[in-house]
Amino acid sequence: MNRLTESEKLTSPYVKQKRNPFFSSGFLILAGGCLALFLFLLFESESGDSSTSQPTASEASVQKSEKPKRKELIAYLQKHPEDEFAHFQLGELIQNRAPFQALENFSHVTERHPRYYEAVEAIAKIAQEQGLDDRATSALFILVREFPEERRYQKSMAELLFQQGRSNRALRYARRNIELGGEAADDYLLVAEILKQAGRTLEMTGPLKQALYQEPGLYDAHLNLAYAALYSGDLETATREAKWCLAEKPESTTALRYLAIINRNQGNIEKSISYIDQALSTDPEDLESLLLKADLLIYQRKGEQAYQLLKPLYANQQTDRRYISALARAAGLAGKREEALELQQLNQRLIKEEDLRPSSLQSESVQKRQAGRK
Amino acid sequence: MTSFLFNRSIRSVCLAALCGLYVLLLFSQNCSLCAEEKPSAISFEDVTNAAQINFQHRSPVTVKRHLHLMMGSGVGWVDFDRDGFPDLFCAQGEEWSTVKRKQSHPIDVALSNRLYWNRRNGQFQDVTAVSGLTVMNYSMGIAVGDYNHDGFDDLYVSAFGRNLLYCNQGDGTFSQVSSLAHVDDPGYGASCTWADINGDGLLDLYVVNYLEIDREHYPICSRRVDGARVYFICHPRYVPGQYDVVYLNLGNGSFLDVSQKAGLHSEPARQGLGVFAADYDQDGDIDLYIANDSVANQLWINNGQGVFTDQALVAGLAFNRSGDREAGMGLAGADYNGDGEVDLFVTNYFGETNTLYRNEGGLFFLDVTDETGLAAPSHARLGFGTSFLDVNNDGWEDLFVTNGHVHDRLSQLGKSEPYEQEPQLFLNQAGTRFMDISEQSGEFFKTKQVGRGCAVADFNQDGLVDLAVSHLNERLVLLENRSEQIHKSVALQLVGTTSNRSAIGAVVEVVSDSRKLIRLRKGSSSYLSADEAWITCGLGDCRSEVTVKVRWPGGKTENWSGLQPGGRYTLIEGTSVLPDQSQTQP
Repeated sequence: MNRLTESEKLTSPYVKQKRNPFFSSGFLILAGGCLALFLFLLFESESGDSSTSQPTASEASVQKSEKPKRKELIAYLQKHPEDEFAHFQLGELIQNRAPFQALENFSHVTERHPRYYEAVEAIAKIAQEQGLDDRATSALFILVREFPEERRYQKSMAELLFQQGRSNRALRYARRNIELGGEAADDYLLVAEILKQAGRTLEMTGPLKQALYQEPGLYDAHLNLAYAALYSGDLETATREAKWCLAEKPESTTALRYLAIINRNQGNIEKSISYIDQALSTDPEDLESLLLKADLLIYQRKGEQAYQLLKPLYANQQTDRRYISALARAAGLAGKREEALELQQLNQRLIKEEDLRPSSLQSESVQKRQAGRK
Repeated sequence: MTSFLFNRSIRSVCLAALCGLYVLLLFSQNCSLCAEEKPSAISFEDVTNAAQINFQHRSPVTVKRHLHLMMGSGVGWVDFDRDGFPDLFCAQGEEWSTVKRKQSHPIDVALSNRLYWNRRNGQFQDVTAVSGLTVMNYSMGIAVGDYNHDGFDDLYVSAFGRNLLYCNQGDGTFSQVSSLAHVDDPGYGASCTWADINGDGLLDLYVVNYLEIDREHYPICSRRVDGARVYFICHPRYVPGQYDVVYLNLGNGSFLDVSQKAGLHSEPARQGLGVFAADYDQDGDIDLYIANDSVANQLWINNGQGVFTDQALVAGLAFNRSGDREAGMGLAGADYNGDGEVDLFVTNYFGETNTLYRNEGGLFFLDVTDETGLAAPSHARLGFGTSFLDVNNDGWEDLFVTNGHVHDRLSQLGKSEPYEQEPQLFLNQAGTRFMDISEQSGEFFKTKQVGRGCAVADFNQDGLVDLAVSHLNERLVLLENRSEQIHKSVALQLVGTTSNRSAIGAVVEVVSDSRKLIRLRKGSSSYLSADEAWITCGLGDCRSEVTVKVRWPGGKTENWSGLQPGGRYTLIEGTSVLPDQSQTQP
């Protein structure tokens, strides 16, 4: 599933050109280039030859045709740096090849200009693509505030905040997207995934069922439903969904792992081990499967085996607290008490590092109040 | 012809008998199947009104959501008149605005802690006023023990504010001796327990403190929600914790605060709520496990002299299996799997699991919550009080959890975390897994409440353990165990002579047929609560007499044999050579 499709379309420069014809001096050059491209493509299609080199040739042709216009716009802007529309045009022209420069050009378009919101939208798109999250967020925030009924902005904002791990805010926008009529399976799936990230697993079932109602064969929704059901203790649903996923993708280590967890939670430890061994035969380096296998061995009091399974991963996983904790448990059970203590202390240090990051648990406002004051 | 008829009638009779036998066999098989498939034989009935208990907890929320008003108060069983029937002590809360008013108003008993005398007929009588226990404060934890060795159980009550020690006068009244005894810690007290920490035969006190707040320095937390300021209780991780306190019993009616000397200040103060005292390293002294709210739990290991070091990290008890600290609230300890070791169960926050730590011996514990079936049922609950109790006397310790959130307005943040939640009962399946039998165990388990404390006692001496459950700003509930009595129990009261008189910290091994059952004499339990002093031990299929081995605090052991299922026995330290002196109460 590609949840960025819609926003990518929205920020496509070609779509905007159709909507907003230009009347600058460079337009004729661009139009000439396009005409040449059109004739070239027409000729090629008539000839029936569809060799793989064609797209490259056409791209080169477009690039070639853009070049004079770009030069012209740059020259023009050197003389008229205040011309917002020229900045906008140049931004549109170069955003695929020189996104950072385009970002700079779009930034020159001010609120007074009629193309301002298109520029903001382009900024949001480029910033998102280039990993400039703060820039993208502030751009999308402008759009969401100006067009509160525009679903696409709500959804983009939700996706962006979700990627940043800001689940609570992401959820607000994802839900607003649905309120505004977003009824596609991926709209609901987005809500479910944000809830998962927020640790609100129990609330995932509703949106997942909606997603599956819209698109019964949506694999990710089935897999997430298996997870949500497993978490809430509905092992029947969890089993059904995990098995559906496994039938669709027999190599799915996630589905195999879920089945292992289901069996573990039902007390079927041996069956659980057999599922996790299947997962590990598919992907011997899957950390989640290795951790689960170690967990099962630890439960069976096979501390040394668990330790041998986990220890080789230390170099790469020494900042993963779940790994460190599992290794500590294995070491403790295997009688390596000193090492177990060191690992637990390492876990403690990692927790302290985590605590330095801002947390949603913190109050926005803490006041010290005297008794009796209202 | 006659012979033919005779033979035929014999054949008919035989056939009928065979058919009958078959039907009987089928019936018995069906019954055994029914017995396996119907754990609904477990049943608890809310008998609060019938028992004439009318305790209503008072802790109304404020607009600014003062944190301590959400934490509730405990409940404790204390046989204050020594008639063998446990009486009920209910800790009371207090309105935020009461403090100013109470100086000018007479004390209203309804707003006080309450003592209910067990009338031995299933009913209780409020004796708060005559017993001298009337008080106006926000009481929290309860510890019951005979600290002055006069034979009568005394009461320690922690509070949001100064803690209280009530000395049982033996005549039905108590005198408040907190400041005289130097145990009136002014901190934010949570759970507390009596335990002989230095092995001198006297009960010392351990008081868990929660947060570094008082009425004069109170954090108020809020968020902007849809343009409006909404107040929530502050997250405890961002409010400084307060050091716990250890009071050493000097044997002359007074105590000495030895917290620092005992090593409690060797690491930063934490946000403690629960405590469970036991000899975790089996070296003959009492150690303490502390449940801390949203920070690492502590395991204070005693060097025998009352000096502690925290070994929770190496013991695997600081964090859960994922290496996460959890919001520890209540604690319960028991040998759930019959391997002779004390396992621990900690109640935690919504979205976390309650966590069961299996004792592997050698001071090492493993989180086995998922494997025992306890993880999923606790994800959508915020657990507080919890007790191990053998509800059907099958010899396996089952598990009760009372739940309820600390936030009452999460819906305003778009969260689906209910404030009121159903309590839960889990049946121990031969020490391997726990099965959630809440829905089949009575109406109480279908009712959403804001649960806090709970305490176990066989208040009607019918051989089945009952429960008292405290709720936040709601009425206390007395649950009578009306489960089908397939198995019998034996009830034991321990009396220390050289060790502390309440025998707190003693371990009982009940040996029956092929099983060895371990039971503990606890100083406190659950969240802010105290169980009955009598130990009721379910005997499973055992119908014959049992042997009891008592390991007294300090390590000395004694054996009693010939104890009958269904009997009640008082075992006095140093008297096992004369088993006929054991008092039998049919």
